[in-house]
Amino acid sequence: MNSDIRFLQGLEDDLREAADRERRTTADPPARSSEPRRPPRRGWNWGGIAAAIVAFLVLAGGIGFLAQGGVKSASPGTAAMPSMSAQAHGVPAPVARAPGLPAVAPSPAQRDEAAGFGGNGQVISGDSTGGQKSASTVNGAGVLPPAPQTDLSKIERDGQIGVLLPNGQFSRNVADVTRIAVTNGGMVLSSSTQNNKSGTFTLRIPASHFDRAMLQLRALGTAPAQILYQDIAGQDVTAQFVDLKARLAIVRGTKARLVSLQHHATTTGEILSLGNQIDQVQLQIEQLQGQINFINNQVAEATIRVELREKDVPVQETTVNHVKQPSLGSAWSRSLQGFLRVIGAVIVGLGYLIPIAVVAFGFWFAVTLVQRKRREASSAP
Amino acid sequence: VSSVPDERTDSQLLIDSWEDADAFTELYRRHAEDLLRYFARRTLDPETAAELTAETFAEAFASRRSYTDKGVNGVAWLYGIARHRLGRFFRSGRIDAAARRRLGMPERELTPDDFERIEDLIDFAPIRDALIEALQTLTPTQREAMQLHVIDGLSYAEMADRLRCTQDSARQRVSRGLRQVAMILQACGLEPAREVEA
Repeated sequence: MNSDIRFLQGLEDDLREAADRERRTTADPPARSSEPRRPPRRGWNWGGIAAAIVAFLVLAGGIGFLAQGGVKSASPGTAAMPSMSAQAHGVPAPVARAPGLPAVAPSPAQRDEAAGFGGNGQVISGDSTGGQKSASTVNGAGVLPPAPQTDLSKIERDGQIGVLLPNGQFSRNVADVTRIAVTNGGMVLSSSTQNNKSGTFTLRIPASHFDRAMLQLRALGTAPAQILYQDIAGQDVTAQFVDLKARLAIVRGTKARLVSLQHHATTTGEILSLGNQIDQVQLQIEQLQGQINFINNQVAEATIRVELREKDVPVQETTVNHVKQPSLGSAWSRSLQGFLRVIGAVIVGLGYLIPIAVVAFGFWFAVTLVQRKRREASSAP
Repeated sequence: VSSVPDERTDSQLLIDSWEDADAFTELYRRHAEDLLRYFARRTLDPETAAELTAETFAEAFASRRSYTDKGVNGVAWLYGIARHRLGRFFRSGRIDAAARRRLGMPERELTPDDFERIEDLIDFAPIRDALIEALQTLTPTQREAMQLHVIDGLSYAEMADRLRCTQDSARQRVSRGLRQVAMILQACGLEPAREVEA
């Protein structure tokens, strides 16, 4: 054997032994060759049966999941909360907004409107850039004439307002808060009420309607109600946004160069190595794009936290900015819910599948029966 | 074993092997490595190539009496069986061992040295662009394994340390990755090599 590959050397030995066996068999034929051969025993294919059962259950689960409304209704996330809270207050749910809504920066006029807030415990805050921007929109004669503008500024806006209500007015004002959110194209992101006397609400409002919504919310505090506090904060993220866009352009250029290099690579090692580098660059692109999208989203929609409280209700600490702490208990509870939801989906799916399976089995049985009878008829003398 | 070169043609060896099985061994010695290269360049996987080589020779040995000399070199008949085996492999993704079982031949495993020796037989140059596309379809585990072995040049023992798995498992990951790439290339109508088949 010329080859140094041991596998081939071993194979040569195997072939030689096979030749020897053939020689011996030819010289000494087996005596029991006339003995009838027993057909191979056919056992149950347990692996196949188990796989079929698993596939059936997975299919049932899928059907059940779809039958229950798919991902949207199955996930108990916060996305379902606005509509639930809105419906609970007798207000139609806001239409879900498409992701990637174009960023809408507040117009100068709207910023002037925001600058008009004041009085009764009001605080207006913002970073220096935002403040200068607001100031520059006002001249001695009033508002600047609307000029064609390409406003690339990215400002995130956030507001809080607290209203002290006369006793017995809470329910009516809850409906008003929800109505304000909906009429401004926004939604109630979350809500929390206590004893139908006090509660906090988090609203997501398109940035272009932020000032109007704040004014409407402030109107809830007209006498005999009272504004407890009002806080408007703005953060200019334009520099960060521009920086991210520039970095994204650079990384995209890098990716294009790597792809070009990969197409000229000459060895598998180079191809794989460049492929890995392209993957890493792609990851950076996606991270940067994600941050840009996040900023766009944050700029496109403002958050307003509203606290409503009747006069007799004692002040509670940390009713606003309430953050849930993760705990093992809640994790267990969620996992249990998930488990029961999967079981439920499988049961629902089985309800669909079993009748179909019974019909299919009956059909198969009938076809088999007919075929067997025909075979018997044809083999009969 | 005689040291005198056997001057019989491949066809003559096949016909002689009807009565003298040693003639088939001579045919095997002449073409085993070429056939292994043929399979390695098409399947990209040393393990698959070795298995297909063994099965092809086993089938050729078992059916050598069906060979008839029609004036064509006898090795073309051998490569006919090889092509048939390769086609079945690409259709089913599995390698049959029926011919070896019938002859009572064991299913041998490749040694690490054999693995590397057969990998050297594979030439990726003609399919570079298609290979780039095909590599994208691998799982991260397979790609990582292929990167460690093909790019970083780690041995299977070193890979096993790095990946915290057995050497067999490391070899299997590379093998599966290569096999999947070969299947995709075949589905695209591309082959790693197109040398003359006798």
